[in-house]
Amino acid sequence: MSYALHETLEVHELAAFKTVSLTKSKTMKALVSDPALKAILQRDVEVSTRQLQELGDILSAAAERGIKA
Amino acid sequence: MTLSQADPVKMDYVDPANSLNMPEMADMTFAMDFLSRAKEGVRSTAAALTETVSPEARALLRDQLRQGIALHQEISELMIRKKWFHPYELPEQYRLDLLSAGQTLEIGKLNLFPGDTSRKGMFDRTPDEHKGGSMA
Repeated sequence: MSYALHETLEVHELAAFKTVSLTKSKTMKALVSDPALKAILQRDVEVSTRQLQELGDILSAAAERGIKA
Repeated sequence: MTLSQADPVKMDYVDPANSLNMPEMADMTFAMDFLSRAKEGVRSTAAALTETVSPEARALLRDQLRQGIALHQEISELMIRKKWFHPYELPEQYRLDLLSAGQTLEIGKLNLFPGDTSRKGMFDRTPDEHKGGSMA
């Protein structure tokens, strides 16, 4: 089954946002001193990495199967 | 705490007095940014979910939305516990926002990265002069 153009664009936008957010969490993790906040940031890095891979899988599947405009 | 003092001429820009409470204030700023990113993530995932049709994309976004909501809850609970965020006391939140806005303006005025940070010429003698270190 192929993906519709608008949903592919929507996923693409989400992936772009998650990329920036992941970079920020990773960078800020080194700067914070509170251990609880550091732990949440670390977990966000792991979760975001997985989410970004999942979004990437959808985008490559869309490219493979073709996008219906 | 104020970042400026009465006589700024005597103030050295690397004076540790300027770093008082800095880790806590920095943590608060990072947490605030983190919270707004989590919020933004939840909103865009929800918006994306309403635009998708294929079942696998919908299932994926639904899971990510749940994770995003959980993350947002975790950060806001931490911030309330730390007194960085006062959702129920509007005057207190207003006071805090005003304070951090003022501090941000002060930071904006600071020359954080001056070209010359050399301390040469500040001492009339070198610490190892008695050992003849300066002659080495």
